[in-house]
Amino acid sequence: MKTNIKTARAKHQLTQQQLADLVAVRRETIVFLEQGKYNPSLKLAYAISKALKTRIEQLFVFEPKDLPETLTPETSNQ
Amino acid sequence: MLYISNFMLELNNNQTPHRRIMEISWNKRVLLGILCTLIGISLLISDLVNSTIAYAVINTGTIVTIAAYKVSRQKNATAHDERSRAIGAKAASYSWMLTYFLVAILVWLVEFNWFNLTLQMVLGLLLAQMSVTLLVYKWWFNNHGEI
Repeated sequence: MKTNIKTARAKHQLTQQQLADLVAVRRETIVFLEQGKYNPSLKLAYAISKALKTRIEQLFVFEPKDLPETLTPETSNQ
Repeated sequence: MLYISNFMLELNNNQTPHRRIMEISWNKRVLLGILCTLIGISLLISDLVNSTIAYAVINTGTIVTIAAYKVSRQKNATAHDERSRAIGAKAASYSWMLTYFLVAILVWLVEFNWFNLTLQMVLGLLLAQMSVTLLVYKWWFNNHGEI
């Protein structure tokens, strides 16, 4: 999973701590999210997308290998 | 103590919002612990029951007081976000699994008389092992992103 949180955060001129405070998590969580090393809950993903005024699918980019085999790129785009 | 307070926190975090409304506040739990300790002390002084029971009540009260006080101070939204909760839960389950294996080993040690173990030794070992492994696992998972 890749994330565009860092870019969106810079666009809104927010520090990691400020974003963390906005979505009520620790700064470390934002650090790992930006590195794509942590899968957030849907609730947190939604909160971040609201805070950064960006759509969830633009913030979190899943590669085909991250998806179940039953979901081909064609079906996942539907 | 840390292990108990962590477990208390995990139990609290795993409850639904509806249940949280109904639960006793942490401050009341501290008071409950103090009350339990005082009852234990009065039992000890009055000599109404066996001193072992009185000491057990005092110990329980002290543990509840300290653990509830610790949790009440830690409890805020950012200190225990979803990642921290997931780390705590995973560390607790890994620690529990290690304890299970340790107990299994101890059973064999006693069974074959390879090692003379007293009750105090076993309890002390389990207490130390559970606390230390929980802390180590928490530290380990905290430094690794994927949980």
